[in-house]
Amino acid sequence: MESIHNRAGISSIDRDYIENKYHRQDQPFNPYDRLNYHGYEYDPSTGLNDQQMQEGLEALYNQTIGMDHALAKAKGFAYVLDHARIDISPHDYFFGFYNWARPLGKTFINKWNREVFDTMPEVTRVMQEYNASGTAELWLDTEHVVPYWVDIMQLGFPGLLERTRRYHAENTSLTETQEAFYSSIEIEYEAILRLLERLAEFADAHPGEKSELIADSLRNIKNGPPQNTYEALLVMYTYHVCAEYVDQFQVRSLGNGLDRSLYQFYKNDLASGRFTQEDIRSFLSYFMLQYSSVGNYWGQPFYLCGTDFDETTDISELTLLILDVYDSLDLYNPKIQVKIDYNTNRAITRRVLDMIRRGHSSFVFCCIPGITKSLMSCYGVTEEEARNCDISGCNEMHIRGKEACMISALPNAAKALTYVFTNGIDTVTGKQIGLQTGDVAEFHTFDEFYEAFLTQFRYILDTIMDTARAYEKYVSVINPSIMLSATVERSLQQAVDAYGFGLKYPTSSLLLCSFATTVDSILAVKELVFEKKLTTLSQLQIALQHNWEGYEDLRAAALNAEQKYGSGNSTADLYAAAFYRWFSTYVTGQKNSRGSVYKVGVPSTRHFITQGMQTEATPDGRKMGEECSKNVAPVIGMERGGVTAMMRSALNLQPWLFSEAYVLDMMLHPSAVSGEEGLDAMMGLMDMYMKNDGISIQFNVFSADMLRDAQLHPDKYKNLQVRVSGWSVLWNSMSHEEQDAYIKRAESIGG
Amino acid sequence: MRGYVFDIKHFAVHDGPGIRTTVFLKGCPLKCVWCHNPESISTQTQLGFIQHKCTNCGRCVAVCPTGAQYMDNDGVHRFDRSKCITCGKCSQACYGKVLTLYGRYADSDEIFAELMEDVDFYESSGGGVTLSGGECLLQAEFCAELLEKLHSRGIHTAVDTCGAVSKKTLEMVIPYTDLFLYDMKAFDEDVHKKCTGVSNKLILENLRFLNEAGKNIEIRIPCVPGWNMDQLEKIGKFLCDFDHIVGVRLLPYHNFAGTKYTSLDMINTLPENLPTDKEMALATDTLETFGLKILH
Repeated sequence: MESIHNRAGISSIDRDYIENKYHRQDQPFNPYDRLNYHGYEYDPSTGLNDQQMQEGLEALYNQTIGMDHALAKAKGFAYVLDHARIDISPHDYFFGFYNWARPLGKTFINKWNREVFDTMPEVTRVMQEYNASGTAELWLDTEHVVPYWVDIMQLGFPGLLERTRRYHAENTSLTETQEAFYSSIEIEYEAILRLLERLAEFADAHPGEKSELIADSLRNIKNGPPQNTYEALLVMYTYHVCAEYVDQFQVRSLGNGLDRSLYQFYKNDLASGRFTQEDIRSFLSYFMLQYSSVGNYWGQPFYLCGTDFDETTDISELTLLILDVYDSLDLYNPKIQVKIDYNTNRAITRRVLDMIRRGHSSFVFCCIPGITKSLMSCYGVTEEEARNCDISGCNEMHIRGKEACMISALPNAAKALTYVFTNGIDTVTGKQIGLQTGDVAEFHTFDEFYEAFLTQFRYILDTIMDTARAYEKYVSVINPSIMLSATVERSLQQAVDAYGFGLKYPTSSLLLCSFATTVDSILAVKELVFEKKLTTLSQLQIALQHNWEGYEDLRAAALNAEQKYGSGNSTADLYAAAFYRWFSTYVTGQKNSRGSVYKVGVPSTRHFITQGMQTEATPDGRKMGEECSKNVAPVIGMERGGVTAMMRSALNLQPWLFSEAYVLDMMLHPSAVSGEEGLDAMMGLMDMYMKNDGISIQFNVFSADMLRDAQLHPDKYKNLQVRVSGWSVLWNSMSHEEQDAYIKRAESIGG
Repeated sequence: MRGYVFDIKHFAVHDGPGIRTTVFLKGCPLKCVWCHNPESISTQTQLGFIQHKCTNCGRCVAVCPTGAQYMDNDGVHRFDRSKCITCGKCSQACYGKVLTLYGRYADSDEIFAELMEDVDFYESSGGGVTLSGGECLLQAEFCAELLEKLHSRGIHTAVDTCGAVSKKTLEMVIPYTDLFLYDMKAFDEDVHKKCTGVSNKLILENLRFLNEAGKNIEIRIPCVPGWNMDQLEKIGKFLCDFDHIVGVRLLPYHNFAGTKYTSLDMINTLPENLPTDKEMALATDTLETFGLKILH
């Protein structure tokens, strides 16, 4: 290997090459449209351009009409891999794949999606109305999953294919669908092996410093499981390219713990002298840069750490190496979850906290004690399954190799509250979307009001789940999970598509939005109308209709009410916990249409902004269009009792009741966490959080002054990344409204 | 017993080890030119009013019993301090947090209960409670009562003091205090007087007394260019013989407190010049030459 002496183990020329691999850094880039860019034009003799690829697939689609969708998709998949334009550069250890714009989407999957929904006009109507009104976001979640990397690493691509063939041969009396299930996997994995050979031949034909290693390794993973760290990374990378861009299944984690999945290879390499630590450092740099250069706006996740169920494995050495490489590259994508427990090496936690303090916001801590309690309690998994769970995507908890959780919807509780004031009419669309719970002005007690709210929300939840049940059962028809199914032995045994039904836990989830906005609004009605009698429900209704205009004093009273979630107020804590538990109890365990149950969580996306735009004025003093509260965080500015009171309030909810995801966002002012004492304090917060069954927590350490400066001078802050819910995003790629929301939060902590 | 407090700050991480809650007691025998808590000096209750943030909603005017809060002919809210009896009704009615009442009496049990809310954070971080001010030891009996309660529950305690109190006062809190945060503003008496208005004779004696009593002491030195930064060598020389000093913390002066002075109608005495990074590095070097551990 070439000798490179910087800490990241990559030359600046190579880094520059990779950073421009998916789009040119010096040209405008819209991360939401990332697939439509190309960094380099690869040799046309190696394959088709995007237009040619689409034409070829269209023709193929017409030939597959009437065929089982798994089989048809597999044929499309093989066509893409056989005809893809490819490249191996002297500046990169990982190959280039030109046709990465998910070509099967337009040509196959979207059409099947339309066919299914065309048969369900009522379902489509509900989805459209709920989405347009901001009542909930509903869509068919076809592709969030973590494959079972353990088997991928142990068997490699040829081993996965061999295992499939074995089950195929053993099962003699197969239906047409089952036959198609096995055949589709065989077709896809055979295509992967052909791609590997084609890449190896390309490397042979283009000799360079890295080409020999690349060609040898490609052939090795074509012929067997990976044998060393580089080959293991190459398998992960290949799986990711084929699954994410062609099979159209997002790979929601690299490795079942990147460190854990690589550890044995790493140990063997060092022991045998195959690679040095510096070589591995270098491979990790090239590997991680692939994901940062893709620049997908939701971030490519992987997780680190964790404790094995038997607590015997110590992988800290590699964990720290990965963190060091990540730190030295100064990346924001991939984003990393750190699974911690009481016996986690403190050096790891300190290292990550210190990185966060220095502006690396792409981290979430996930606490194993809370996770274990949650998963075991809420849907009855074993302790081993719970402890060893994957952290998938942003911070979702899924049983390793046994769970595919589809997000059914993100219900907006604040919207349900506004329906109490409008008798169920949505003022955004003008339609009757909520229930007719009566004229709010006629309610005489707070209990009547509260009951009406729960009725509205229960109705929304029921409608969502009924709607989702109607379409989720078709997920395997719309997008068969072919590559994934090969990694799941249970699925192979039963000849059932993994994502749809083949995993042990094919769960669904509802992610609760606008939690604190809703709680504060309920409490504002209680305090202002029924306790202090500053107004009546009828007056409040008019004030909300007028978006508080002309009612500034009443709005000020609402904003300054005593009972606010997250402020340390005991009444607010009581109501927050009651509502949280009511929601969890109502939804958790309800049946979905894939033979499993519902789980609940808080969203890890940007719905607090988008749904806020669709949500009318709320009784807590919020105006129409302003952002709603985020995750389980208090409404901005309402964490009046400071960081400790806010954390107490959040923990009082009993996080474990949310078995899909629970995340607390904590913004800290840089001055509060400076020096060793600051690091100690952050460690103290973490320990307290973990001890009280907290699940996920993410920190942002920014002052409002700095963020305001960054808004004015984007050039100065090119690499500033912030954490918006589960997403790590570049500051400069956020909209002005999002930036304003962020600054507002920083201001509320005294920055 | 009741204490006279003006603030309680949770998640204080620079007032002793770990995550702490700091109780600020009102009243101070010193008047440092650079004081960033001017509301802490007086032993009287004070009302702060930030005119430029006021929305002229008039709620305070409606509840003010003496006419101290009034609207002028242009509909602008004005405050006549001479009529104010600091009853606090206006600050309660104020939604914009433009009016703030500084100083309230609170029972030690009530404060103790609030402090205990964060006990899990103290335990998880090796933190505790710090009493500060003003000069908290002007209310030594109250401090001793509160510190004793905390100590009986195993909570780490710290007292942040300027040292300008009697030995007898110190003796009252010594048994219940784990760490003294001790201010050193100058070594030369005339410089100290110029900076704070009082002599430092008692302060230097008390430091020796605490050291002899075997209490852990963290020295805190505000670094204010043009006022006391030429004192560091003498301070270093004086401190190097003390065996219970756990470290010295240099506090770079900042001038963020201007609005507070204005809001209280106090004469703003804040110096203009802030210490540069270079000056702070030099200050660290100076003290380290005396074998003192500098805390960061």
